[in-house]
Formats: sequence, C-alpha cells, structure tokens
Amino acid sequence: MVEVTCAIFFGKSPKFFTSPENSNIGPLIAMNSLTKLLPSITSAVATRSSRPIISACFHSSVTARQAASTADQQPAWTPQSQRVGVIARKKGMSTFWDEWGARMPTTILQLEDVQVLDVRTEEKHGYTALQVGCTNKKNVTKPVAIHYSKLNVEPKQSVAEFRVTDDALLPVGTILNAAHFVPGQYVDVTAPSIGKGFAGVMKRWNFAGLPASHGVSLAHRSAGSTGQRKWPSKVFKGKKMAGRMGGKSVTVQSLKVLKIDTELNLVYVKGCVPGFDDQFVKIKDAVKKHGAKRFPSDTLPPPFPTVKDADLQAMPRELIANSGEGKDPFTTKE
Amino acid sequence: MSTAAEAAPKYTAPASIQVPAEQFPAPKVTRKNLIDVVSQEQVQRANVDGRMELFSRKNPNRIQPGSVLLVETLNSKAKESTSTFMGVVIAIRRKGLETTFTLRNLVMKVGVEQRFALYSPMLKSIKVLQQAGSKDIKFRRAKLFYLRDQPGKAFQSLQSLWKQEQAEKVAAKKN
Repeated sequence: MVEVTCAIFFGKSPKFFTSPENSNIGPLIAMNSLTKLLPSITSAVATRSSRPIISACFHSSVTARQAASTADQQPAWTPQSQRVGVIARKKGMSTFWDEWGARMPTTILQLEDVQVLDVRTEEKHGYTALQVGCTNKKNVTKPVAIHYSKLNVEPKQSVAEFRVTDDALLPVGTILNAAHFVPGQYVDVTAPSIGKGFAGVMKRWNFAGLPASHGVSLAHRSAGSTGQRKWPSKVFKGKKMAGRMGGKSVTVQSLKVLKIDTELNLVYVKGCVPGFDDQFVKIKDAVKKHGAKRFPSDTLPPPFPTVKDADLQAMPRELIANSGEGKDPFTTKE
Repeated sequence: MSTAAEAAPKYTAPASIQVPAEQFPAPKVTRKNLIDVVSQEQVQRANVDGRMELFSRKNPNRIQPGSVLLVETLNSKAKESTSTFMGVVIAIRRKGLETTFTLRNLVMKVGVEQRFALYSPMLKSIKVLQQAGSKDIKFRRAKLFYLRDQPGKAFQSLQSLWKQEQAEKVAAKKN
C-alpha cells in the first residue's frame, strides 16, 4: 500500500520545495490524524498530540515515502548556515542546579504559538529571511484578519523577521518548538529594556554627583560642568546629560540554553534577559560563537531547518544540558 | 512520514545532554499561571526526602526560628565526603525553589553564620536537634538577627547537644 505524505503550505513556498505540476492540488489528506486540521486554519496547539504534521516534504511525483528518505529532501546543515530564530515570551526567572550541584540563575522563555508567517527570498525581495509570529490574537481588524486567513494561520500578536541562509527556509505555517534549540547551545536574546523614564545623570550615566554637605547648595545630583570656557565655547555633541533611559532594544549575547521543555515549549536560559515578564523576546543562535561552536560538539548537526516532527514525538519532555567539560568544579587539584 | 509507530526513531541523548530519569507529565497551565505551576513542579521534584514539610508554613511541626539544626552537605558530587554544620536557625527566607535558611553558631569563640539553600542537591540531610516553639524555647521574632549582639542563652545548649549527637553516632556505629 502506497502511503503518501504531503506538506500543507499555503501562500509562498520556499525555493527548495518542488512545486506540484498541477497548481490546484488541494491538500492530499494522509492516513494519520490530519483530519484534526479541520477547520482549515492550522492553529498551533500547545500539546504535542494534536499538532498537525506540517513540516513534511512534498514531492511532485507521488511515491511511497518512509521516515528515512525525508532527510534527503531537507538540506544539510553547514557551519555557515544560519537557522531561523524564534519569538518567545519572558515568563520569569528561577534557579537551576547543574549535575555538579553548581547553582545558576535562569530565565524561563515560552514559545507560545510560534509559526512562520512569510518567506522572503533573494529574487523577489532582495534578501533571504523568514517572518515569524508569536501568540494568537482574537480581535483584529478586517484587513489583518483576511491577510491571516489567506495564510491559514491564526492572527499573531508579535511579528518579526529573522535573516536566514537559503538552505534554512521553511514553509509558511511551520510551527516552531522549543526543541528547535539544543540544550547546551548559546543564544542571543533581544528585547526592549524596561523603561526608566526621564532619568537623572547619576542613574543614566553613573555620574558621581556632588558632595552631600560642605556648602553644596541644591546640586547634589547634578552633572556639574558641561565644558571648558572661551575655547571651544560650546558643549560637545553627545555630552552625557539627563534624559529618557530604557525602552530601547537590547541584546544579551551568548546565553547558554540550560534546559528545554518540549511539551510546555519552554526554553531555560542561563542568566538575565532584558524586559519585564510576558515581554516578547527574540531568540537566535549566538552570533559571536561561530558555526559549530554554538552547539555542543556531539549534538551536531542541530535540528535544521527546524526539528522534525518524528524526532519531536520521540523526545522526552525535558532535556537538560550537562555543564562544560565534564569536570567537577568543586574538586581542588592536589 | 510513515504511519507505522515502529518507524518513529527513538531519542538517544548525546553525552552533553542528560535526560532526567523521572519524566513527569506536563502540568496544566494557562497563560497566567505558567511560572507558578512550573516553580511548584520544580519544588515537588527537589523535595526528595520531605524537606519541604520541615519548612512549610502550615505544618505544626515545622522548624521555627530558634531551633537547633544539624545540616550535612556534600563537598562535591564526585566524592563521598560531607561537611556538617550545627547552629541556631536565625532566618528562614521562603521563596519557593530558592528557599534558604541561615544557621548561626559560635565556633572557637567566633560567631559563624552559614546560609543553606533548602532544595540544593548538595544538601544531604537536615536533623533537628532541638525544636523551638515550646514554652521555654520560644522566640518572638521571625528573624533573630539581634542574637548577633545579644546572644543571651541561645547558644549555651549547643555544646551539650553536639556531644549528645556525637555519642549517638558512636553508638549507632557500634550497632
């Protein structure tokens, strides 16, 4: 019996997927639980069991396909490849003890209904990128609702683009999971920092201010002098002064992924992340760790372009990174 | 992708990733209570020997400030050797997974305080040598930082308790 697998993607299809001969193909329904797709909007559901299979390959000639051969259709990861990032929500902070008992702070980031919304290609747009959306939203305006219904994706609250290489493109509607990240890899996290309002010069630029006593009148937290005298007879541009502080995009680089939760779609990252709780943050593979150094050497190649559904179903719920070189940090050399 | 379940690959973790032996099913979460539920789940997992009960607010036999505890900690995971510290509980800071308590003692006439994380995997055991809360051993504060300046009789019984504990250990070894 010939089993047919198909991809269900609407809108623009990436370059490396072969387009079907007849364009009015309609979705071919596979044996397994794709009936759960009805109604036709593919919504990203939190639990794994009812997730529709999206990221399988489609080939124009209808042939029997086993799990092994889908790997041939997917392009292989190279150290020069750039994978897609995700948008997540900063949920809060906690503590984490590694296998040696060392304690470290951790930030919990949740991938909430993260899907690919658009594909940007070199020929059509001049650059290669994937547009990703996070968190479903109910009340949207009519133009926005129609735009999303054409993609067959629920409207998203936060949308951002991630530059990728040509081999890392994904079809529209692909759901991105926490398993996209490998425990032990390094990531960069970008988010707007908490706004501090109109901040004085001591808070904003760490100025020392003036003495608290000894005759100082009304100027304890001021900047003091702003320049010289007759020359240059001006205040230099960029002089550090009081003003609005915070609320700008900040990137924290090279944070280690300590743990992933594939069922709740959580990524536990070591250290702090800018912004307040429930903030939308962008996570990408670390830029300053090149190619293979981003990932632990025995986890190469990483899930590319993203984790396959078969691998995801086989994964246990929680995966924790082992720290470092395998040496106990609490033993001292004799 | 084949529909047959046997074709699904089994996940084998490489050396740099550990899969915790006990995988719990995912708890039910909503958008608002995720962090609370996940933190609570972490506490339940770290509560290997019932240490959560010792410091919960509702337990009538909980450890109260002023109790004398003997805490054993592992020096490192690689070795079997442990360190013990005995002292009076002067502070309990309840923050879920990061709950900590501070013990104070006089070691060779020098006051020493040590803070322990309750759910740390390096904390091997907690033994209550003297329970506070009864009529004669009662402290009317949650934090006993005043003992740093006015110890009073709080540390007088520690010596005898330590000797008692050592004697019990020797007796247990003989048996």
